[in-house]
Amino acid sequence: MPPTDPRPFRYRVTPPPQAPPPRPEPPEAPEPRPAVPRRAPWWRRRHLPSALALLVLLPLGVGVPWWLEREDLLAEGVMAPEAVPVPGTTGSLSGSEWEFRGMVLGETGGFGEPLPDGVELVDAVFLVTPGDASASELLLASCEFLAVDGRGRTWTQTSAYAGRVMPEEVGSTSFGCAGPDAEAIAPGSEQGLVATFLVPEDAVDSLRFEVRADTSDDPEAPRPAAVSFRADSA
Amino acid sequence: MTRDFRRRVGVFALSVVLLVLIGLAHQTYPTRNELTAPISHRGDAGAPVDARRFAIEVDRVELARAVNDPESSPDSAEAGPGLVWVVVWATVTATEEPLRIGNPVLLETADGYSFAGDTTMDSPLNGFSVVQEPGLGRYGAFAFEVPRERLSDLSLRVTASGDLDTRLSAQAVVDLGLDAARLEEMLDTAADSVEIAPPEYR
Repeated sequence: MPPTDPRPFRYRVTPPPQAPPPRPEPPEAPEPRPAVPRRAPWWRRRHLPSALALLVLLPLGVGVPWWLEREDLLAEGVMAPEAVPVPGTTGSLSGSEWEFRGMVLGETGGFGEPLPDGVELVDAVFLVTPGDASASELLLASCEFLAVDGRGRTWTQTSAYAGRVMPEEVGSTSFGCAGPDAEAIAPGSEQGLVATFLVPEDAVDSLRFEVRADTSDDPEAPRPAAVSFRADSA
Repeated sequence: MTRDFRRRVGVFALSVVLLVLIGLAHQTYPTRNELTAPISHRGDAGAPVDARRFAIEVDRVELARAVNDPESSPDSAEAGPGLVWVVVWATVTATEEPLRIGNPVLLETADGYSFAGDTTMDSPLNGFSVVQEPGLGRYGAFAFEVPRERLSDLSLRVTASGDLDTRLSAQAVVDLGLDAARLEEMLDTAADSVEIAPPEYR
């Protein structure tokens, strides 16, 4: 048996745990200031992000519909295409090769009334070679000529001297560009054409000639294009 | 009447006024035709009237009992009973691009009547085959068959455009400078027949 404690039994009283020492009082908190909202940076105060968004979106909102409308009008041929200046005397248009051979002045051929004072008769001479059957058809269906002077004035072809006798090999430019027999120009064959204008004498020195033709046989979107030849280039 | 009540009445009245103003503004909003109407330029006979895309200068006015266009018909066109032909001679010059004078060309009177120019003849300036080319003035005539009693303070209204679409085309209104007394005098001396020659370059 284990030895017993001879001392009389006593309860051992465990002293209650000491209460923790009171925390020191926190220092007197400063009087809270009235809430002041944090000031936004200047670029937000001035609504700069909104202004920038407007600056980008407004031109886009106006510009994109304008551009789409312009593209439609150009494709439909309602708006005239801007002529591409040709360096030199040859250029390509709608699958055909064009060569400007020069300008002839005042050749009435004795036909009709003499030219009125201040008016000049101008013949622009071209050679055209359609690259394929499609180019031939586009020439027949849509080719037309304009004379333009340095002031931007434009003249269409005149029929005033249409009764003149032309060389037999000259094609027709009355309704599209065709051969002498008014048929489509054969692909690969060179055809001479003469476009005739009546212009004021003061326009002659700065003339250039524009040729326009459709680039597509889609009647809804013929997509006309144009090239421009300087009269003094030949 | 409390202040708040007065304020409410004021707001209500202002709203009503604004609604009425919106309604009135809506009434005055131009129609699509008005928005695309020809752009008019006014002037007097005897001097060029610049309509931007073309210029017109009225040279003279003749009255006649008949007109004759040899290009259209060998016969003269007699004015009907109570009518007289008013022939206006003018030079028209396009400015930048080929134009055609659109029909109707109008002869307007002081009492609000308008008479359309004749389109049965080929030679008048408003004939379809007459193209106004830039810088090349065309001198010719417009012919109108007008009741004699409507002749007073005449003016000529001419519209020109590059194609059949006449929206926003150029328009010239020319006061012919003829009052009732002068027109009465011209009626007394009206020619038997005036020949409408084809336009010539000027």
